Amino acid sequence: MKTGWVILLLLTVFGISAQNKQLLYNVNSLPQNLMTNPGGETRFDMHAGLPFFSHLSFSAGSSGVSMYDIFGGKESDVNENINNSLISITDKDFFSVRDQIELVFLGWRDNSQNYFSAGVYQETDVFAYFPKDIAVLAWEGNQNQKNFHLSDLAFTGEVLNVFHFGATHYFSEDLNIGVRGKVYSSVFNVRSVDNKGDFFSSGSSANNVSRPILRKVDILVKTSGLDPLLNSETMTDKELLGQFKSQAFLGGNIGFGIDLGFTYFLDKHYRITGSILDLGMINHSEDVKTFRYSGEFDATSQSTLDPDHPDSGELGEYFQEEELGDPYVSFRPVKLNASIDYGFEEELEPCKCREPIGRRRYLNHVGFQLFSMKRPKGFVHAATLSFDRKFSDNFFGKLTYTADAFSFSNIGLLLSGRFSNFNLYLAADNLLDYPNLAKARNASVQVGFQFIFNKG
Amino acid sequence: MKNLKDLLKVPLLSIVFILVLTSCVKDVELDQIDEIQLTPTAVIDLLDFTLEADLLAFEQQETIGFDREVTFEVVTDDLKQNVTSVDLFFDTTNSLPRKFQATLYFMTDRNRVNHTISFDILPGNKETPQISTLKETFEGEALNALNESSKIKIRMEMDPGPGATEGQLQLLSTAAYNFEF
Repeated sequence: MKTGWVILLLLTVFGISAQNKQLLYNVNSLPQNLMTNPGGETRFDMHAGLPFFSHLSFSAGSSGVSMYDIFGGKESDVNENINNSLISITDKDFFSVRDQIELVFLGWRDNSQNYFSAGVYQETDVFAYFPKDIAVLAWEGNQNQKNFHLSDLAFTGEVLNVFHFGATHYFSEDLNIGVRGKVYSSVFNVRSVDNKGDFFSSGSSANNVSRPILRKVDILVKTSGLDPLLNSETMTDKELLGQFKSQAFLGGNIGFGIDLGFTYFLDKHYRITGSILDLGMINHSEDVKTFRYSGEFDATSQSTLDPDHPDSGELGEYFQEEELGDPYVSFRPVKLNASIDYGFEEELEPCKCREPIGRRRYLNHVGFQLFSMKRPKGFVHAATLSFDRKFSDNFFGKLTYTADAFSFSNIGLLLSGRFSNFNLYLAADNLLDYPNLAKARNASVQVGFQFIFNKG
Repeated sequence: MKNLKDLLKVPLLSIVFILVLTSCVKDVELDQIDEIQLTPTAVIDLLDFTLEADLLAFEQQETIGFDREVTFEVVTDDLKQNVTSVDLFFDTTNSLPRKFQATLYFMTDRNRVNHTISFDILPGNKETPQISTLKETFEGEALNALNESSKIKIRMEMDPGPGATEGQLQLLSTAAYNFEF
């Protein structure tokens, strides 16, 4: 059973997962639009998500290499493929795995031009830069006397529950503004982003004789909440489950954050929107373990005949391993969304919802969206062209083309259908790669089931 | 009629579901994972020492020898089975007016000699130091002998000759371990 838990957690962490939600952004017939922009429009009066199923979002990507690049082609040699990939990949390339599962999501409109929404969702986010120098060191060794930067090692991973409450205010015919407050309950957190150190060889000669030097090595891995995983063998299933539940529901490391957003109509047809999400941090003070490995080694500094020379002892004597318990703060990966779109083919029938009247509505929109997400070495960007159409009161579709760090051929499609008050939506990215996922550098799927109501 | 329209949407949604569910991974040979071979070469320092001119301030008539021992535990027992060969490189730069004979004994903890390397270092001077290089490759039985060694005894013998007030003898040595995982 305990093994089962660990496998379940690993699947959660390393399953496929979504970061850029360009398909849901600006879709005002779906409540999830409010999670991408708290200042978004709402064309309904109340919603209640099917618990655990109102939003399932999964995405995984590798900006530098695909499965086909390594294992592709019957005639190719896997070792040659790895070699070629190591040449083309850079230390700015990354691997990313994310998922988001809405446990509860509810919303309602009041009589004062506000739409409130609240809920809980679980999020997993694993991000790692490709440690190129370390991979090259493992693949070919240090014979080429390259300078290997240990700072290439940078990764973050977290599992957390987010409790949120937001309000969207219809400020005027031209403007919507919104805010969402969040309480983060961290389940696990692992961070290693400020590593330092160089490994290089000095004093090379025609005969390949050189001295290895490890300079100012300082590797830091901060963790919190890992006790249940590390001690799963000594805990009963009940204790293990209790510990996870406690950490997931405000019993462990807590943080706070805020989302802000707006929608503004430039004129009758043009609309701009923007949002900043997860402007927040988590204070890790419970079950904190920080592992530090630091030191220096310079083989050129002393003679071999000196009893203190490195060859006279173990290399490990020159490095320190420490386990610290100091609290630390982790900042959430901030996300930025911005868009401009043009609406055409005006919808003549009034909305069946109680959204304040006066604002024009269109059946079709063409738009341009930008997305940025903060990562340890800087922002990761994506640009999207979109077209959406409301086919009827019950059926909506959105088509996107996205260029990002993963590819320039990302076509995405969202379809949303309503059957009475029951809504189902499904969105998928990188559709061109679905016939053969081995060639995809990124894939994401989002699906949700919920009830949407209009007061009429 | 409205219900009929709604029903028509179901196949459309189903197409997307089917697209997602029937997406596949092809044109890849995942069995190749067994063929992945890491073949790194780890270059580590072996010996590095310098003899200064103050050792031979006066003319000497006889051979002088001295010994030193250094540990030689480069790879752990677990890793030794992945070592395919080892190249030892030696560089000497001699600006002293004396000839040296260097002998390296690769020994076990119990002082059993597994392998010996000997080479001459010719005399030089400050203006034109004598530079020489040597490479010795260990494979098969020789590699086993090297792997079973835990220390190196270095014996330097200096031939008779004139005294000197400047110059030095420098010996640098590197071991390149070729692994296969």
